[in-house]
Amino acid sequence: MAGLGWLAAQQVRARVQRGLSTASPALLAGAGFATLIGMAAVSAVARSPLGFEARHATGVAGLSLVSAIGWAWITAAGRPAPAFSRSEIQWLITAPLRRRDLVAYRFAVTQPALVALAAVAGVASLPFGPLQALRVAIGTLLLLELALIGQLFAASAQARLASWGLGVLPRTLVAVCIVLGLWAAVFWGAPVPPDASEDPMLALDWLADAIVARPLLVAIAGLPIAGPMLPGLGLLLLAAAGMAVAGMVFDGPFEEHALLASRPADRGRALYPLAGHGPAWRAIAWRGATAVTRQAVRAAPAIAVMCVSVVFLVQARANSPRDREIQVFGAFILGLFALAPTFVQQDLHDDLRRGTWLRALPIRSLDLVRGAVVGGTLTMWPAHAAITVTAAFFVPSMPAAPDYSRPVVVLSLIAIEGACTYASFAMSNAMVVAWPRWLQHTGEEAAGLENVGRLVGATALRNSLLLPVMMPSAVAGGIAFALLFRVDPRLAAVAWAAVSTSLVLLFGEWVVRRTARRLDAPWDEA
Amino acid sequence: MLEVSGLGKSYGGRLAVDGLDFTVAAGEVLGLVGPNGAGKTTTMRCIAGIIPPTTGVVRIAGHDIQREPLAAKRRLGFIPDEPQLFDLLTVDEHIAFTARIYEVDQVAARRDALFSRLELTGRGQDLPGALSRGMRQKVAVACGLLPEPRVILFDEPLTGLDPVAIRAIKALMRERADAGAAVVVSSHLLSLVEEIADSLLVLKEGRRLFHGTLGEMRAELAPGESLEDGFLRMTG
Repeated sequence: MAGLGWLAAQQVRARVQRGLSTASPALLAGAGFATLIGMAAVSAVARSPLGFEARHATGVAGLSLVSAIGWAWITAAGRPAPAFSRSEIQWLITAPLRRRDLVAYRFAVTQPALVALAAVAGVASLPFGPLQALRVAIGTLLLLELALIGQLFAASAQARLASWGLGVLPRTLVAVCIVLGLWAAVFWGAPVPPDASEDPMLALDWLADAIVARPLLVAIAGLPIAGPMLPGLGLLLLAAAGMAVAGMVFDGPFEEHALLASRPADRGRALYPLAGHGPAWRAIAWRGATAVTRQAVRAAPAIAVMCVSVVFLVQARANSPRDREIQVFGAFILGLFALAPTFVQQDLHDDLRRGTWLRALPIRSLDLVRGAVVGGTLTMWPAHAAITVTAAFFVPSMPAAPDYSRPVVVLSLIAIEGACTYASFAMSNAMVVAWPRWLQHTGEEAAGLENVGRLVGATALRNSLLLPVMMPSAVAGGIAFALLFRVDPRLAAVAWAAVSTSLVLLFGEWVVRRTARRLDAPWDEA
Repeated sequence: MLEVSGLGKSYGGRLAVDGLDFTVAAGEVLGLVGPNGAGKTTTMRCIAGIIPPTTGVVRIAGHDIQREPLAAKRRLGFIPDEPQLFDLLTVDEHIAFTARIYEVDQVAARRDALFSRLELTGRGQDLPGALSRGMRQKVAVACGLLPEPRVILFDEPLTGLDPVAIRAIKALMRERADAGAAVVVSSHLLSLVEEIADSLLVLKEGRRLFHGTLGEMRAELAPGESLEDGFLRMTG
């Protein structure tokens, strides 16, 4: 156990050192960006009418917490083990250590990430005064710790249930019952929801707010406040202690599950079949598109939560139903442009580490880069098109607009979106070729906050580089979008859209060729 | 089939390979041996077109790897020591990808034959994460041999393999050579080289210490001296 403690301490020290190293600008970029976002979010919440009274903060915090623990219970039904890396499995699970020691180790090595997140939340709250910042930091840390304990407890308990011969389905049912029970208990203390029969949208907003977004921020800010909050706080601490003890008592055998969970064993159908003959870049694009669809299947729950959050956060702010729909669809399209290449990295980000093998294949660098860019575009452009077509169905036209206008404008929009997606993926791949040490995948899971910093920094840089080029298209797209819903479209707008599409595509192609030339440069690896 | 002339590679001021000249004819298996840091991997990577040589020329089936890289690489199979598979493509999809890149016909028949020899039958739908290291190495070998290249480079090919797979891959190397391919095997295992190679190239510090047939090598050995003893004396 002493050895395990030493290992955990070394891991923590190494992560902190790496994070604070000037050779690792990812942490600074990530913390800076997260601070800005956090400040914007907290100030938005503070300025708007919350719909929740401060006295409800404990209930709301509980709601957030049980949501996190409930999610852990349900996911643990399919994978009943704490998350261990492959090297941890190799070194620790084979060592003569008790399971509870391994769980304690998992708890300990996760602490730097939790403390860092709490610190970021605290720094983000500094505009509200140092005392409030301290409260926010402590509240965040408390909630994150509780969620982590709940997660470890769920994994341990589910592993024990599995060892008793319960299959995934019964274990999922057990998890659902526990989650519903927890929710029922917390709803009992939560604010009264609006009458759904009077305004269903308002009730839905309330539910989404209660589960997803603002409550967490409210809870973070309100939880450590003394007075009426103390009983709730005491209950939560009691629950945490109970879960920690129960996790030790259950002591479920999770080793095999941990091993299986460390392997990426999911697979699904390829997006489309690969033809036997044809240009090499299409094979590269096929490999990227196939990998992205499989990656998306794994990330489906997270994507769903993000989409629901966007819908309800935007809806809560909109002034009218019409604005609501336009803003929701606009947020999805802009979000896809800004973030898709960050999360879809089955391209040169992943391929560069296989450089030894790829360079021995009969593929030109231009085919490699173009295939990587097209692979990403192929998976994201349909998503853009789907959102745009859905918007066309949902958002009502202005009465003055003739019927033929809608398909023309929608097609123009989709063309612009395709060009911008291509340019965005071109820039993303160009960046990883320019800064491979910083951006390429290593094959190992990246550390939490450093990884956040890496992704956030790359996203900010890519979008700021793209902005001057995509601005004309954005203007054209915005005008087309406005025309779709407000006035009779003019052919001039469509022509403008066509010109913008061509210019952005040309820019994307220029970036692809520049990247290929850079990749062609002599590659002297040690 | 494989011609290497005046091959040199330096990293900064450090010379990794210094003026190598050798050829590997069709049907010949060349064993590339040397102590750690001798320049074996650099030589293999220069031949495969992965890194550009500082000096010299490499020709694969008559095509200069620097001037006509696509033509040369289409005739070359490179099997690295560490299998570098795509995490999210199945075994069958790796084969389909390789077939497309190398423009291979009759893929199913070739794949089935290789899978049968390498005991990969039934694993076509697995992702690399579900395979052991040895199985992943077998997939890399299957992909490398699928196009039936005229020059094949094996870089430490037997790492992590079980005895059955080792035997199968040794047999495949010999068969491919007998079918007219030029095979280069880089290995630390002198027993492997002695068993399957026709000729031997011994490197030390980037320079050629010996190049000749196994018979010529044995002729240089002292009475009662094994190939391993001779190698150690030569490189010591």
